[in-house]
Amino acid sequence: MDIIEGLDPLSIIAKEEEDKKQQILLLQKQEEQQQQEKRRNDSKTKHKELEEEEKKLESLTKLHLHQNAGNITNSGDTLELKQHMRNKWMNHFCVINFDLEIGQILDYSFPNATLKDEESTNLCFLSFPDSNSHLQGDIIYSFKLKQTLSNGSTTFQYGYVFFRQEKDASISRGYLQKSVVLLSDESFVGLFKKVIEIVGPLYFDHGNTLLEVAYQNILSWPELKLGQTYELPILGYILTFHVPHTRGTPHIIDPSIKQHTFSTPWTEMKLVSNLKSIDLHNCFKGFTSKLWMLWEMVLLGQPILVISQTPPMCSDSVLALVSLISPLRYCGDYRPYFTIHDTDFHKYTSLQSNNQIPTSIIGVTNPFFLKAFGHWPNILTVGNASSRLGSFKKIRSSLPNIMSRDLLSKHVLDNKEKLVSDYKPFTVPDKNVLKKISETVDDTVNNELLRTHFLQLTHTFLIPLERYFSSLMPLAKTISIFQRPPRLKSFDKEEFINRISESDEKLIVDSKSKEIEMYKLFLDSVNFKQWLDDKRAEAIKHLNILYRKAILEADILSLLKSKNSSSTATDLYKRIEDQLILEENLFQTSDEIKQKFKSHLLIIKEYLAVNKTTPSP
Amino acid sequence: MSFPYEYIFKYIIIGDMGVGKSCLLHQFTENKFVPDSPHTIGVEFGTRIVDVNNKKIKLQIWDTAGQERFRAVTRSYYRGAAGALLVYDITRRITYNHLTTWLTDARNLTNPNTVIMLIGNKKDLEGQRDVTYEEASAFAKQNGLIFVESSAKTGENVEEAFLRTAKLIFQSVQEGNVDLIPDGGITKSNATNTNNTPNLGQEKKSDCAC
Repeated sequence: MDIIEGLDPLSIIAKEEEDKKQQILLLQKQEEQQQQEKRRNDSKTKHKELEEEEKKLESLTKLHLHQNAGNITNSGDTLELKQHMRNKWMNHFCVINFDLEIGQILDYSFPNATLKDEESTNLCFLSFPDSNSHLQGDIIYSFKLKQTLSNGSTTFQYGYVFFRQEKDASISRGYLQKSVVLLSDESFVGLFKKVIEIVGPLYFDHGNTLLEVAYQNILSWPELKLGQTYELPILGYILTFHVPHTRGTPHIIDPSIKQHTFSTPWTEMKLVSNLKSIDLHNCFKGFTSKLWMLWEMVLLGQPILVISQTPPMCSDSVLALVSLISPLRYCGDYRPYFTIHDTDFHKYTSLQSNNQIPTSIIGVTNPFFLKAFGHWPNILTVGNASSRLGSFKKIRSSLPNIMSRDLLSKHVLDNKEKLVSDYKPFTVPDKNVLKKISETVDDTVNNELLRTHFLQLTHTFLIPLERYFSSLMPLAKTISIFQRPPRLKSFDKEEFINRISESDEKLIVDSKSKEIEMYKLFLDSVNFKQWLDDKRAEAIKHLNILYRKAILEADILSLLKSKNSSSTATDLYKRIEDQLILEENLFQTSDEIKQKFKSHLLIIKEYLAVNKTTPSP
Repeated sequence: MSFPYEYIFKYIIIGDMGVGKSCLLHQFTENKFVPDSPHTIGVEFGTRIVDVNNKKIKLQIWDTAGQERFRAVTRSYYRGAAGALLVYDITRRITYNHLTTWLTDARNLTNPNTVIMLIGNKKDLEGQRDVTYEEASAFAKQNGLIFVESSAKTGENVEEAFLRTAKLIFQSVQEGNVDLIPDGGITKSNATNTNNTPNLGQEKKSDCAC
């Protein structure tokens, strides 16, 4: 068994956290400065606008306003800024329009978004369908926008799109093609798809002012906290939303929320849920039996290219795949909707051999990808004829014209839902589930059935891992305030495989050897790595709580008296001091607890003074 | 998750700029008077749970901007309102003169059963009074509105205004004058819901409502 030597996990983690925190602080500071700058400019223009407005009103009514209502003071402004910093439900609303000369351009954003050129281009292309059609109507979908921060690290914003296309004789092209996009750091698909569904049509009625109003509504939402349930007002609607417990990859599962009906729903009260917004059943209606294979591929980190005819189908399918392994977090790169203009396009096309392609799920609608990503090991085509957009237009001249008719007709235009892959699945589809689905016509029931089944399947798969992990935990009774917090043993992959080989238990695969094979593949996946990191962090936090409790409950003075050694006292002083540093930097401990620590330190100091020795802190 | 109320009533507060709509809302929901409250951008929001006939009712109050530039936007909030508080400033006749326009808007955009209450605010500024109680009271009678004079500053009659409206709505519900339809507000028969769900073209509507 392999135990980390030298440093205990607490201090390693503490250091890592410390570094991360420093970085975050630095970023926050920079961001804050930028925000302030922006705010200042914003408020100037806003103030001006308001002044004009007021003048107009005054001249109209010829009266002196009783209250100086137009007065936006500086202090009010900083208040608003603080509110904004605290409350990060969303970042910007953007309007992307089609310009005949240039193509799609960012027309307007509120609050004004400062994007680098390539990010702006990327945003524009992600906000429009990339296969044209003459169909009229609106579509709603989501995407991920990659951004590079000043320190070189990358981050993602999530975009929620409302795209409208309709005939409009007043535009020389004959069509209105415009998108309203909500950008947020959060992947609350259920919530924000609903928000954009409300905001989108109203925007087309009222224009930019509406976005300002909608933004103001969201700005006044309560502070975003994980695991809470909120009633969120937006443009006359109330959305009830449960924020998931974890941040990161899509929060699709939120099991604590149950669909419930109000006895007397008076107003536009809507329950939005990430879980229900992605219809697993509908996305893969044509090949439900392949879901088990897809579950494995997602779990084990196989790269998957998802091709669909429309952005909504495309983004929903990618999110459905990612959520298939809930409650496990999918840790590969995933893009609900990806275009050839994406900054990462070349990164992906340059990876020619299969084993170079990282764990990823990429959703596309442009058939050109069949050529560009033709070497991908797993290509999934979703959607059927009924959901298909009309005929494809000529490809833009900026693209190399290598999309042959053959390719088009062979792979996309036949509308066959299919999974092309050499992957050999370990598991077999659950016959009972398939039978139930074939017997039920209700999509909602089927979706829930599939959701529950795969949630359980993932849980079952994790059982041996959870079991082994708990054996790595030190016993609670080994905790002593005179020693460092007990250490967590490290996860020994070989030992784990040996453990599961010893037992005859088969959990999800019929053949024991195949099941072991599957676990081996999982241990090499990014999803496992993240799972282990999360488990470790959680366990260390737990150990710390136990250790803290031991310190808090200790009667220091009588302990010292019983030991009667000044070197022990000095050691203990260091112990508690170290712990205090950890508490301050890592765990955001309450002042009350920290005070208790300090009083312990004081007692030891006094004890040492009486015993004529000085502590060396 | 459980909800500590049985009914939700949607209120809108409308009227000219600077009559104290937001102050009324703050006084009612937070018992606070903020003298220099900033302009309302479009619409703001507040809630309070009240007790009417031993029933817990959540008042969901949308406070609209009086500014002209938001007028078109704020109109879209009227839909589904069970109660409308129409506010003017007793010290500025012009805000009283505009009531007809506001009332026409409210009548056109809400349901026939929507309870409309007329509120003459800034009652504390008696010395600067520009509109008499009698005059406004006659106007209210003529137009079938309930009427009260209040002061968002002292809090006088603020509670009453909101509660009287709630009682009237509740009475209306009990008498069966109002249908309770999920999602549609108090739409009875002639309501249109143009902005409720976007037109998703020929595609199947994505089912993300919940």
